[in-house]
Amino acid sequence: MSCNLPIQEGVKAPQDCKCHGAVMRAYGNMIKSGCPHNVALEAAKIVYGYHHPEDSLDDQSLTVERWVSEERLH
Amino acid sequence: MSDLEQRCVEAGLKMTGQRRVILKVLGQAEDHPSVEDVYERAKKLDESISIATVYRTLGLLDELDLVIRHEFQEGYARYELNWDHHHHLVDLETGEVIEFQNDELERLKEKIAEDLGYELVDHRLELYGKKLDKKKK
Repeated sequence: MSCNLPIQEGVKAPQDCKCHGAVMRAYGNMIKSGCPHNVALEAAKIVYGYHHPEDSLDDQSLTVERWVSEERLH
Repeated sequence: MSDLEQRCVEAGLKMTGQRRVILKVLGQAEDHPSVEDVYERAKKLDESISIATVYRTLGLLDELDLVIRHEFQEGYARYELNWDHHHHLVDLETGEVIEFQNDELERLKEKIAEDLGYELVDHRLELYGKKLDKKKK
């Protein structure tokens, strides 16, 4: 299910990004492994940053936070 | 069923809806909640939960060694889930997370803290890597 909230500037849409699966898998696996949300989010951001070094740190954070929020909402 | 619920079932705890809610609250906690804290948070998810249920469930989880009970000299206990101590290696390419334990690393961390004049109380370590190309090895 997709979210109808508008995409912010600098935030990549999940469907436009090949790394979306890896980022969300990292987040989900860290949560499953007992990590709190903020630690799992940090891991997901590092995975995203590895795939998108061209993005600023702010954009990396915004994109991953957006993806994770969407996942948690649904 | 979550990993935590699975551990509870394996330890002999019957899973009810209210216990699931309490486990969810504990699993999401980023602090060490007291019974009152767990009750307040659980009530937001299920209004029918009573504080007696929270007391009983935390008592059972404590007996089964699934939570760690902390006494911080406040006159009441605080709880956290008793996860197996492990660290993570995150595969940057795939997002897979590998849990690992390493005694040498544990000793080293304690020694670093001790050398700096501290007793190690808590720590967190995540490694990030990509699989080695076997041909290059």
